[in-house]
Amino acid sequence: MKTDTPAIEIDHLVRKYGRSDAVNGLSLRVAAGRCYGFFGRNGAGKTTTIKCLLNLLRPTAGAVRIFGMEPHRDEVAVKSRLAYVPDQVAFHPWMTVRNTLDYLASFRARWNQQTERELLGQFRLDDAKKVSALSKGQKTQLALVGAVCAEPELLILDEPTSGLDPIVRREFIQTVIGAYQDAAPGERTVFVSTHLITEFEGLIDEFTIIDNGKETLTLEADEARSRFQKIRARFHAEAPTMDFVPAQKVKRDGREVEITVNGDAARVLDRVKAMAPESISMEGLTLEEIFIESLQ
Amino acid sequence: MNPRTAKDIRVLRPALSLLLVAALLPMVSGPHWHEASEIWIVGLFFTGCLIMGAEIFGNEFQHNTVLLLLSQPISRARIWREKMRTLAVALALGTACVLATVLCFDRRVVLAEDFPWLGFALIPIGAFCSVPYWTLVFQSSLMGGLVTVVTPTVILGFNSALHERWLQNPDSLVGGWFKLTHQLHQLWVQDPAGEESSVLTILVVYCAVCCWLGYRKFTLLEVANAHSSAAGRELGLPVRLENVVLRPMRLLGSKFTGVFAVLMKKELRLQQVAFVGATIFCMLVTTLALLFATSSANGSGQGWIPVFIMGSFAIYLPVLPLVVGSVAVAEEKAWGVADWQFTLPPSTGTQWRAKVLTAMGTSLILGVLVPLALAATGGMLFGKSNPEALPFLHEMRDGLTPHGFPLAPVSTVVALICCLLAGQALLTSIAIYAGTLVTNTSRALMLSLGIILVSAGIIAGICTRVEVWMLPRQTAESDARTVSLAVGGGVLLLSTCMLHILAFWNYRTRERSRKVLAIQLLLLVLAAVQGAAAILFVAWAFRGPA
Repeated sequence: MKTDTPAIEIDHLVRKYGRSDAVNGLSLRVAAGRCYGFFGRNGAGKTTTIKCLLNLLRPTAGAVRIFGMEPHRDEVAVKSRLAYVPDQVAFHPWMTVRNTLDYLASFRARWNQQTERELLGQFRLDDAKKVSALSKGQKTQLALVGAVCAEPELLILDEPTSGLDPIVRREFIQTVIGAYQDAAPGERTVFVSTHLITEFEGLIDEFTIIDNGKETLTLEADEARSRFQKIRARFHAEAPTMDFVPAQKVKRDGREVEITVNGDAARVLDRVKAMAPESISMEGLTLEEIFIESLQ
Repeated sequence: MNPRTAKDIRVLRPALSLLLVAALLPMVSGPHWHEASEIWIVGLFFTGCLIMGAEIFGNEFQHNTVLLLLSQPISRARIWREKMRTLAVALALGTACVLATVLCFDRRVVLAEDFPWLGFALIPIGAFCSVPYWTLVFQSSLMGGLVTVVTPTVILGFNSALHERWLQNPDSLVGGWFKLTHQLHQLWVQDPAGEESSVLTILVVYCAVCCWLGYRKFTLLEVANAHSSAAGRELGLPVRLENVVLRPMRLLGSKFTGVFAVLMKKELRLQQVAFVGATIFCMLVTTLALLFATSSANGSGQGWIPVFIMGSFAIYLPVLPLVVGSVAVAEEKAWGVADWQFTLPPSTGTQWRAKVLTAMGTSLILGVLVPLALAATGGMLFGKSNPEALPFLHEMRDGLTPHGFPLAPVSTVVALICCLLAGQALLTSIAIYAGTLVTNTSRALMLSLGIILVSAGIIAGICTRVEVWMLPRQTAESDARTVSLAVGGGVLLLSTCMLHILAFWNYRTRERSRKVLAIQLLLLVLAAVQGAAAILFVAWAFRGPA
């Protein structure tokens, strides 16, 4: 059931803590069925934004809507359709893995027990083990199991892979999130805030980069890769000066030059070619490189 | 059973067990110690109700699970209802058990004409209505529990002061309030002066308001970050005020740069909450004393002020060492820096010595010397002119100034002060030991209280069983007092040393097997038995003629 109502809609969101602005006029729109990346440096306002989406914090100004509903008005309806994995996972330490999953399932109308069994096996989580005996990574795995088994329409992940070992991280991203979205194509949305952008490279459809609570860049992943290009050229003598637009950054090193281009890479390529380099190549930036470039 | 309810029951179980222990007391108490058991019943009942009220929401903050709870697809109103229903059932069950056993085995108490039925009923009702609200406000069980006790005390104290004013001047404005409350309650409370009925009205209104505010607070609760709860927050001054207050200390401390000095500075900084508490205590007592002196000078003596001063001392003296000891070890665990501390170059022993020296020093200075100095100053300034109104200050003045020694000879005074120091050190050590077993300050405080209650119960039980209170005793013989105090002090020191050995063991190993815990429990029981033996010895040695 595909709908035009966006999964997430944020309109000029402002959230202050005392005098400081954690989020300052952020706007974004996440279409249903997409995997949306939400990138930013530490303290950029990612977690605050997510908490406003979940009605854990109330916006100072602006509006947030999930599936067209306002979280503070339709709290239950909103949360019935989403699952959230926080950056710092905490459970009641006396509970076992089994107790915790039963506890989480008690809030849900729907709970996929088969997925639960599969994921517990995949993550090698012993359901008789007490939560207090789990490592940080295992607690994150448990939180992910709890989120995915509820089969929500929207999965909000705040630094979901921190603390996971590389094997589990890859398995989680490719298998769990991939499978979660593939189970109902076009219906299930993932909103992921992460620093490990490379890990999500293949999954992200669209992303927003925020800095100091403000949107810096919002792009489709494919469009970003075609827009942000890196041109490398090697000259016979010392590399000439290149200060032309839309080159974002030029790095010269003797006979070699590396130009990062933000849009219209073909025109820059033509101009570099006109300087008769010994060799020339062009490649798209990864999302992580785009993130770094746009914040520097 | 709904897993959510099962979880809430699990949270309330330890506190409920306190109520069940209170319910067992009338059954196991012998015919000669009704009075002792009644004190314990009330104490356990009050503590159990308070902890239950605090833990129903406080537990979520303590484990940082409030984020998990509030992000689930269930309305906050429903979560509130479910939690409060579980709390109500647990409180009702505990109260019913206590009442049932008291009615069956200690009927004499409840059948007495002056049995405070309403006061008894107000404990669980107050715990139900007000503790959750304060816990939600402070996002901490400990602070919630503390404020729950302090707030009505302050309100009722203020009410009492107004009542006194009204009695002095029946035409005053406040008279209307007491007349109104008297009219409201005169049918069921025979209180011509009207204060008791006003107290009841205030408490009923207070409970209702707290209950509504609690609901509102929960439905609008914001969770800024996972460590916004007290578990990850420091108990202390706001940053700006701290910068101003601590600037001279930092300047002074910058001269000491050795490893041990750095560790001591860190530990002193950790004790900020104790210094804040001591400052508040000093300001409160000084203000009250000045208020009293002013009111005495203009002839409008305020009878409630000495009660408040005594109350402040009575709360401050035992609470401060427990806070200092708990903070010393458990606070770093709550912040998650305890393990990291162990990776630093100073040895575990050095770190422990810095910790214990700072904690004991802080506790003895703030917990004994400061109150003694305050009391002595107060005694010298105000005691003489108001001997009847402030009897304790008068005593203190005579006891600690060279004009006279009612506790003479000097050896007795010295023994008394040593005993006070040893008692303070013991309380601090209990809290330090408790801090090595648990993961945050509030738990350490709870465990310390538990250890103290159980030890006192063992001592009282043994002493009462051998009817030590029935032994005829000599009165006011200074030799007997000196020896008694010396024996008491010795026992306290012995217990303190044992606690420090156990605490250091726990601190160093960090992991404890059940066997080790069982041995430690046995040693603690033996220490309590040793305390009882000391009391019995003193009572036997100085018994009077049969």
